[in-house]
Amino acid sequence: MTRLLCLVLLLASCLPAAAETRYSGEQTLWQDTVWSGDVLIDGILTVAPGVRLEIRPGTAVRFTFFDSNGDGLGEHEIFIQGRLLALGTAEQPILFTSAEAVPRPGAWGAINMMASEDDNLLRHCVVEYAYRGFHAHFGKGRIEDSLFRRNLRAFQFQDSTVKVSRCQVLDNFNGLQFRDATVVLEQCRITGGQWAIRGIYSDLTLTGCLIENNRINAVSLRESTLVAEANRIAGNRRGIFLQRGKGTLRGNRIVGNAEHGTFFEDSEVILRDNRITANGRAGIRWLDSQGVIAGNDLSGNGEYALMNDGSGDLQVGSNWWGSVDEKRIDQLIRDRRDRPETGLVRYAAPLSGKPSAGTTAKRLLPE
Amino acid sequence: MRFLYLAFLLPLLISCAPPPSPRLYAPPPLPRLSGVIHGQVEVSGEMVLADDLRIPAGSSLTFAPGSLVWVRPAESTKIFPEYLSSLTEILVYGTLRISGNRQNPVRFLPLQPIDPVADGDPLWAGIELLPGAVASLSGFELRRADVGLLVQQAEVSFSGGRLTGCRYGLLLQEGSRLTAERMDVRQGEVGLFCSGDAVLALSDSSFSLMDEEGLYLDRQCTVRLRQVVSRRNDVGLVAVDHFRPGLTLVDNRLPRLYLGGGAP
Repeated sequence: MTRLLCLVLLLASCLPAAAETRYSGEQTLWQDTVWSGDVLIDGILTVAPGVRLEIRPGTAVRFTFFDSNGDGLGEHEIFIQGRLLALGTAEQPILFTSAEAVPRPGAWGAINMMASEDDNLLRHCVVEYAYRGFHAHFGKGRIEDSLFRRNLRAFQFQDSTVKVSRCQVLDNFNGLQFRDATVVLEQCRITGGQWAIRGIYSDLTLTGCLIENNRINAVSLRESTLVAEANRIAGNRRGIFLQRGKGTLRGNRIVGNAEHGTFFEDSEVILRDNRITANGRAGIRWLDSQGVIAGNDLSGNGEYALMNDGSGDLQVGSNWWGSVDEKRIDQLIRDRRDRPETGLVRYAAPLSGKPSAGTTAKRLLPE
Repeated sequence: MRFLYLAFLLPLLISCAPPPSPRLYAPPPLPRLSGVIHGQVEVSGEMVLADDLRIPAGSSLTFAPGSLVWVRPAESTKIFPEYLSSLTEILVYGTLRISGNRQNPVRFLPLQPIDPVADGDPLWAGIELLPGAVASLSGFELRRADVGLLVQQAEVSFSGGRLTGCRYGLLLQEGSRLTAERMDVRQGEVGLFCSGDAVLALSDSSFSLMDEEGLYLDRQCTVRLRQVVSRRNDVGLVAVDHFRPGLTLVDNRLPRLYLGGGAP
């Protein structure tokens, strides 16, 4: 019996350790592939059109550092032209990271979706130290319950449709950038970057997200449509900036941003039931825009509750200004009475007390 | 006689000859500065900042006295992940030295953009001193940047700088430590914007002709001023308190606004 046990142990010790799957140089997957365990990408790997790559829970995908032009940025990466299903679990997430012992942001390229029209899905993934964490051109994807941290840019989309749900986007140099894209962000947290969201020619639906402590912008959109509901946008340098776009903002908390809470330029905007308070310069900066401003809490902003910097007059509805005293409210508005070249602001009877504006944000926000 | 005839004929022939073709003057192209600085680099003379420039940690760039940097405006709205702006920018994680002086300043002047730009719009992003950067800038002039000098979590010193037509002159964010003297910031939107727990010691400086605030000091910002003037701005000073020894407010539309409290 003892002899048998020794023999089994001896045989077990001779077995190879769990093998690492390794891809070197430029390679293409031409048939459906499943990854598990450890995968090393030492080059550029393409998943061909029509081919499906499935990654099992607990898989660790590592990319070696290669810098051909001396710019300090890693170039090894993966291109998906077929379909990617990276389905981790809360207990066994899938890791995409650098193979370096001491990695830094930009140590590898990206998970690239190139002309990948199939529904790509990343669930319970951790993506870190990439140049662009998730990058889609003419792609389609859903990213759920995942963590993107310490990348130079967490997400970049162009001509793509992407839905990001319940994700943490932490300490990336910048968060999301997109162009000609349809983007849905729900219950995500984006913090610690230079900017959180920056888009052009796009449609963004933003619901129940927490966007805080970014050094430049929380949300900056140009020639785009924004629907924002029940978000908390706090402690950034600037809150929401919309230029030549359309916006509907309801039930958001836009608080404690160092400059303007919101800035609308040449835009059509509906701004209802938001809490826009304690921002450094103004709660709302309004420049040649039109729309509705009603039911908001505009109290306690640094310099002004509302600046009308456009040449046209502006009629606003009933809002809470922190006071019902007309003289005091006039002090909180900058318009033609202060600057003759700008339009006048007329306001409806003020709300008599703090509204429940922005309370939906509390209910929907991620923990 | 024949000789005399020849002597008349020769000048006549010369005067009829086609004029010599003009000598082409082809000045040498200016050196171009862009990309990533590796190691310790010193530049001087006239040059073109042709695209974004990045100084990574461990590298340094020094501009010698009298350097003239023509900044070429960016022609695309693209922003690569490692940069902050679609405009041309100098991004610093390493060391930047500008060693100008009153007689030989270092100047950063934008070239004219190809597409027309509205009056007052920035033509380039400016100099961005990011976490870990070390900077010692003296005797310099910088025009029409979005943010003349941005400081984030860096310890830097400026002396004898003129910032003209920048949307923000000096922008300090959390973790910044700045010592500055003899700064002249004029004709932008905000002269000095100080936020977060930045610490600033500023002397013998002037902020003037701003469309908005000469100086904006948020609640957490710690500022020590000596012989600083805020002149002919829309608002001279925005701060949580009104007592700022060392600051003189002259001819501003509103001398002061209190944070959260409006005009006095």
